[in-house]
Amino acid sequence: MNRAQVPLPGIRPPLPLLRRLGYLPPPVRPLDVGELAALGSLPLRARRLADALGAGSHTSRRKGASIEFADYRDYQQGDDLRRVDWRLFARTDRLHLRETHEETPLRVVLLLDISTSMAYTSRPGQLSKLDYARMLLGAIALLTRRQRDSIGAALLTNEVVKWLPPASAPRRRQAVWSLLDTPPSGIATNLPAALDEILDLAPRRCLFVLASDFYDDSERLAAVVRRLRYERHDLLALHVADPAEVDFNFADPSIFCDIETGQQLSLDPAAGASAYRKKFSAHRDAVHDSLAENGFDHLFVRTDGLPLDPLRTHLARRNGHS
Amino acid sequence: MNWLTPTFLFGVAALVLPLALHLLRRRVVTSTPFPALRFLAASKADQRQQLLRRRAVLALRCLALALLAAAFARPFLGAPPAPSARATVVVIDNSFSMQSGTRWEDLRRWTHDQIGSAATGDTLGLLLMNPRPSWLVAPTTDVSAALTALDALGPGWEATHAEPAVRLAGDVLAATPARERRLVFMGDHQAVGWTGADFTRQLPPGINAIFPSAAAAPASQAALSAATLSREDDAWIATVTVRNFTSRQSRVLQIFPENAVEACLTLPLDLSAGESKILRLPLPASVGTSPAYIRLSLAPDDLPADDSVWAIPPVTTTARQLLLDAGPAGGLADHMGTAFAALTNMPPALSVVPVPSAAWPPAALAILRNDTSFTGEMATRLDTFLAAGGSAFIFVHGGSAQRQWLADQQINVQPAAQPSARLRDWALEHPFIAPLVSHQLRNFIGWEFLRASSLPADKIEPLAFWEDGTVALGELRLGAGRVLIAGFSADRREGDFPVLPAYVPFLHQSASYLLGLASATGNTSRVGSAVILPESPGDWQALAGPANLDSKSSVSGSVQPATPGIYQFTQPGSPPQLYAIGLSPEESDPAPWSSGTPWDNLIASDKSAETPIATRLATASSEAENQNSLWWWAFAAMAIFALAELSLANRTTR
Repeated sequence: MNRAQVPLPGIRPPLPLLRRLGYLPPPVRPLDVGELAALGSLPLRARRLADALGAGSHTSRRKGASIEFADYRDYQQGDDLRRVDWRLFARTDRLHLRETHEETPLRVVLLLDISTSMAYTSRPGQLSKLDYARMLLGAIALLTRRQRDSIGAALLTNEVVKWLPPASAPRRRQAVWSLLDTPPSGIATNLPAALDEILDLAPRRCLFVLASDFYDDSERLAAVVRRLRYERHDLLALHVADPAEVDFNFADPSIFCDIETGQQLSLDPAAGASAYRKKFSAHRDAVHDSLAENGFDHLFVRTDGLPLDPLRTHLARRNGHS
Repeated sequence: MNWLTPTFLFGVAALVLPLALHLLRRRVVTSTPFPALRFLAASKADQRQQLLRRRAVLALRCLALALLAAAFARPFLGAPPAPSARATVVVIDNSFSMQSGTRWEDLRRWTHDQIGSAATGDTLGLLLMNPRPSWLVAPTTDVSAALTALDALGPGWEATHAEPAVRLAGDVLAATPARERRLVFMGDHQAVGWTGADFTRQLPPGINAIFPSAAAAPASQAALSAATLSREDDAWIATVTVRNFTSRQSRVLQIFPENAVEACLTLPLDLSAGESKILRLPLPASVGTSPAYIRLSLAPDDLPADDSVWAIPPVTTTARQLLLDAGPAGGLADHMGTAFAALTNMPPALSVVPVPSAAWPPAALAILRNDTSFTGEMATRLDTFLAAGGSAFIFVHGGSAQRQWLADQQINVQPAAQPSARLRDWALEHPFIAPLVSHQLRNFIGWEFLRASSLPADKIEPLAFWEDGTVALGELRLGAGRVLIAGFSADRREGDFPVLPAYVPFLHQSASYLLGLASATGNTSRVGSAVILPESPGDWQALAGPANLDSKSSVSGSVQPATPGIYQFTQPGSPPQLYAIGLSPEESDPAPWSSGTPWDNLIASDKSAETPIATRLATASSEAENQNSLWWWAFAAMAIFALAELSLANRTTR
C-alpha cells in the first residue's frame, strides 16, 4: 500500500467546543428525583415533570355531535333525519345514522392526602411523600389545563379539608397549585370518610386522581371504591411510599414512633423486618386488588424514583391510545 | 496447657471491642419516626429469637478473637519446663559384668543416694548403655515411677559401650532448662567399656557428671567363649576357649548334652594367672550320635554370667555359588575378587565363579560391577535369574547398558551434584547393617567416592545416604530376587572403599545377607547383635539359657537376642533351626580402669560457656510445642467460628 492509499484519520472536533459555539444542542439529561427536589417550588417541579411526561388530548367516551366519525347504527323511529347518511342509503337502500365523538370537556379532580403520615421522608433533603404527591398532581393539573379540560382539587385528611370544584377557567390551574401547596394538616387519615364526602360534593363523571399512602383499612376503602364505580366516576390511585417504608432497611435497635398516633415501639429492626415487609406487601396488594376489581388503576410509586413510563402508559390509556 | 509466646494472649483484650459494641448497641437511645407502625409489631418469639442470635454472634466473635490470640500464642500440651527444677539422667551400665558379686546392688544403692529426694518439677531419666543408648525411662517428672523402674531392672547380658550413652545424656541435659543438671553414671568403670573414649572432648557446659569409684576387681574370674561342636571320625569334638582373668586358680569344666543334669564330661582345669587356652575335647559316646546342642560350664566364680556357653553341631550346607563378573580392566588389582576368594575359607560356604555365559544357576548371588552383565543376552539371563529367585549386588559404575537396564526396572539413577561425595547416614536397625555396625560404627563413617550416583528414594528401601540426603545404598525386590544397589563403584580408582577396614566385612555381610546364609554362623551370634532369619514369620523360642524357656514369639527377618543360650526358630513345613547365642568375650575382662579417673575430664570446666537458662527454657518450650502443636487447631476452630459468625450475622442485621 502506497502513501496515497492510506486513509486520512477522521477529524472529530471536541463536542463541548461545538456546543459552546452553538452548533450542537445541550445534552439531554434524564430527569431524576434529585433534580426535581432541587427545583424548590411546586410550579417549577410540576412544569418540569409535565414536560418530561409530554401531553396528549383526552378523548371523551361519550358519542355526540362533532366532525370526528365514530360509528354507524341503524335508524330508529324518532331519530333526527338530519343525521341519516344519505350516501350510504343510496348504496345500500337502508337507513343508517352516522355517529360522531362528542368532544366533551373532561372533569379532572385531584385529591391529595395531607395527613401527617404523608409528611414522612427517610432521607433528609429529599422529597417527602407529600411533596412528591404534590409534584405528581401539579404536573397532571398542568397537562389537564393544556388540554383545556376542567380541573378541580381537594385536600383530604379524615374529611375534606378544602374543596375546589372542577372548572375550565384559565386561572384554575394556579388556584389548584395554591391548594396543593397547603401544608400537612397534623391530622390522622380517614380516607374512606373523606372520599365519601368528596363524592357528595363532586359533579358526575369525574376523573379522580388520588395521591395518598393509603394507610387505612382496605375493607373500608373497598366500599367507597365500589361507590365510585357505581356513580360512573373514574379513578387513578397514586400510591406513594417512601423507600424506607418499602425496604425497611434500618439496622440499629431504636424506639419507633408512629407519626400519626404517637404510639412508640422499642424494636430491633432485624427482628421484625421480614414480617413487616410481608404485611406491607399484603396491604399494598389488597389496595391494588380492591381498585382493580372495580376497573380502576393503581400506580405504586416510590419517592426515590420517577414513574414516568408507568404514568405515561396510564395517561395514554386514558386518552384511548392504548 | 502452656504457651510458647504468651505475649500474644494480651490480644484477648481485643474482646472488649465486640463486647462494647454489643452493649452500646443494646442501649436504645434513638427515636425513629415512622408512619407505618401498624405493620411493625414484631412477635415476642421473633424478638427472643433475635436476641439469642445476637448473643450467639457475640459469643462467636469473642471465641474467634480469643482463638486467634491463642493460635498466635502457640499453645502446647505437656508439662511446663521448670527453670528452678533439677534434671537428672542416670546412665546405666547394663552389661553382664555388672552381675559380678554385689556390684549391681551396690551401684543401684549409690544411685539412689545420688538422686536423693525429688522436689516438684524435678525430672529423672534412665538411659541404658547397651547395646546402643536407649531410654529405659525418658526424662519424666514422675520420679517415683522412674525409681521403681530402676529397682525392677537387673543387669543385662550386653557388652559395655560407655561413651555413646554419656554423650547422649549430656546432649539431652544441655537442652534441659533445669537449674541443676546432673549426669549419674551407674557403671563399674570396666576398662573395656571406655575403650576408644575421647576424654579430651568435654560434655556440654553446666552439666554436673557424677561417677562412682571404680568397683573392686573380682577375686576369681574365668570365662568360656567361642564354643563349637564338630564331628570328626565318628566322634563329637567340643572346642572352647577358656580365659583366666585373675590369679592362678583351679576350676572344673563340665559338658552337658542338651538339658541333661548329669555331665557327660568333667575336666579339672588348672589355670595360671591371665592364661587363655583353647580346649579340643572329644565327647564320650553317651552324648549320642546327633545331639541338638551341648552346654559347657565352669564351676561358678565371682562373675557367673560367662561361665556357661552353648554350642550346636555345624549346619551342613552346600557351598552357595557367588557369580562375580569381570574385574577392572587395565591390569589393575581386583580387590573384590581377592576379598571374595579369601571369604571362601570362612562360613558361610561360598563358591566364587565367573558369571557364566550360559544360563545362570538359580539361588546364587551375582556381584555385578560393570556393563557386561547388562548387555544383550546377558541382560536377558539376568532378568531370568532374578525372576527365579536369584540375588544380586549391583555397583553403579556409570555404564550406559547398566543405566538403561536399571531404567527399565523403573530405577532412574542420577549422578550426584558434587564431584565427590561422602556417605553420611546408615539405617542402623536394618538386618543387613545392624551386624556390621553393632561393634564398630566408626569404620562405616566417612566413606568417600570420586563418582557417586543417587538412587530413587521412592523405588528403593534406603540403607545409606549421601551428604545431600539422597540415597546411596538401597535394597529392593526384582522378580523373586533380593537386590542391593550401591550408588558407588567398587573400583579403587574412584575411592578408597576397597582398602578401607570395613571393605571385607561389608562384602562378607552382603553375601551372607543376600544368600540368606546368616544361620550358618549360628555359633558366632552374640547378645545384642542381629540374627538374620528368613523373611517369612516363624516362632522364636529359647531352649536353654537364662531366658524364659516358656515364652514364644513370632519373628521374621531378624531378631536381637537379649540373653545367651540356645534358641529355636520354627516355621511350618520347615525343620526347626537352632542358634547358639554367646556373650561378647571382651566383657568378661573385669579389669577396672587402672590409670586415674579420666572421666572427670569430661566435665566442662568453663562455666561461662553455659547456655543461659532463658535460652534453654525457650528451646525446651519450642521443642515441646513442636511435638504437641495446637496452634493450627486453634486457627481451624477460629476459621469455623468466623464463618459461623458471618453466616449468623448476615441473618441478624436485616
